[in-house]
Amino acid sequence: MKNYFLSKTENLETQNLKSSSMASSSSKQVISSSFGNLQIKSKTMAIPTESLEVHIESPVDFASLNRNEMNLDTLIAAQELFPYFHMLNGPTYVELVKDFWVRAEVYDEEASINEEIQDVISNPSLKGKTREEMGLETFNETEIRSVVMGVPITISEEIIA
Amino acid sequence: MERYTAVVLKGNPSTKLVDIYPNHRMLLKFLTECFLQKRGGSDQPSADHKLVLYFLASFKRINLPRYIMHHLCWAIKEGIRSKRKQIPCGRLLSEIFTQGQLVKTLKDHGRASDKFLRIKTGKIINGKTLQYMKIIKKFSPHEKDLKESTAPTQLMKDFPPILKEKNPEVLSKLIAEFVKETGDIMVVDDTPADEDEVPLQVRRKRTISEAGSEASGGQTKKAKGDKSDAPNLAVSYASKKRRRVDSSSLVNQEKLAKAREERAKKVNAITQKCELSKVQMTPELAKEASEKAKRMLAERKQEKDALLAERDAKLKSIGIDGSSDFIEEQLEEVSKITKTVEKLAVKEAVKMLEQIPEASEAVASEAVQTSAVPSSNPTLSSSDSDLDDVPIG
Repeated sequence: MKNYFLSKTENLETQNLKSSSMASSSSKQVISSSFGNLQIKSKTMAIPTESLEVHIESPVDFASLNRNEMNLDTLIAAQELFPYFHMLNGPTYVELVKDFWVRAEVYDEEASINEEIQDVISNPSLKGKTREEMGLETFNETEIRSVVMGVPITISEEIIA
Repeated sequence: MERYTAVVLKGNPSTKLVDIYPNHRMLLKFLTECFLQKRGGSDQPSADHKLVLYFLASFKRINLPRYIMHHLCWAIKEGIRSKRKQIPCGRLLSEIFTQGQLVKTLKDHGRASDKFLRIKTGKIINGKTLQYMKIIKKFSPHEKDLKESTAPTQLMKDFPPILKEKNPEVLSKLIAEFVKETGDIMVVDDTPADEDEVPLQVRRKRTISEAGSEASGGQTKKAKGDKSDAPNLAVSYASKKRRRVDSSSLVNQEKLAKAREERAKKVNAITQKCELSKVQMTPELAKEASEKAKRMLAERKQEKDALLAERDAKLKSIGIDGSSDFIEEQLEEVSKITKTVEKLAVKEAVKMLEQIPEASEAVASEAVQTSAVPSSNPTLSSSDSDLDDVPIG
């Protein structure tokens, strides 16, 4: 995890290597450009930002549905989804979402294994060592990793819940 | 699938989705528009949609966050792999940015104005949607109906962190460097910069095969092309255009080059005119213009005098005086001759009529009247007396 998007200069070379390994692991072109002592994650998708379509969820007016003979309260309450529907009626930051999306990548089990393989290829002495011994964080859950206007963020199932 | 058929499709696999229970139709609508968004309508649900719909319809608890996460991961992978352009869960991601302090961090650094963020809202599902779905006949609006809101939600206290870097100094450096490297997030103008870059999209009637493939969704839909495929279309259009140009003859190319040159000239002329019309009149310019006008008038006068002198010289060579006095004299002579001719003609006519005793009185008086009227054409007046009809003998 420490080699994610950016960190201090101490392991800059290693970071470059690792970030590029992540890129290759997800079979996409990631060109990391370093500046000063920090590193910005480049785009992972070769799609022009202006051609992206942000789908915005539709808020639901359950009261209006009730007034028009459509009562779904029990069905929704059974799933405890009212807070989610309540949240849907709010602003969508289209540009931030697009910026997040073009730099997003999925860090799942497959990506973590590829990360290990790349490390071993670059440094054969790491072969047979655990992730911890290799200096990698333990893989816990699938994450979506991206950068929004330079700020690195991670989204997991826990955050969505 | 059997359970899905039993619960949702009323036990009949061939049941159309329009014919399922209205509340199940509505749940499917929620699925396609609020949870696992997909392109197109809800008439062709995916396996995930069917599964979730079954759980929702049968009141069985389901881990929706996991499904949403799975859907987001799939969409990202598709975006990387096959350039899928649809971003699902725009509102959910925005809420995560807000709750995860990302928007606040950007605002603190002056990078989250409304212009940059381009705030939008989703379309509300309410009674009107039921009318569109033909579940109810007529929707009656109510004053308490929900309205779209752009107000940000309140921050949760126990929201898990999403920022991987919390050091404000590092964050400010990152944001500054990001802006320096990539430029500001611009509100993109959708109009193409050059007409040649993107072709005009002409709407045409879809063929049955196209309509069928779009209805089935998935990859085939993308291949057919839609609004979001404009750049791809542009590329294919440009390549086709190039092919056409390559195959055309050299003569056509020359013609094209000539036409371009002419076009450029015309454009230059128009622009020059435009530039001239933009010139503002100053006193110096006005003086210069009046002097120029005087010079031009003098030149024209000289030209006129020269032409007159040349004409006079030609007339003299023939034996005619080109002066105005000569012309007046000539006109007077002509008028005198015409008068004498008139008088002579009248006299002759009177003499001839006197030879006829019956008509002598009447014709004599007519002749007097005729001589009293000034005639401009003496020849006519002489022939107009019907003398030819008078019996001589």
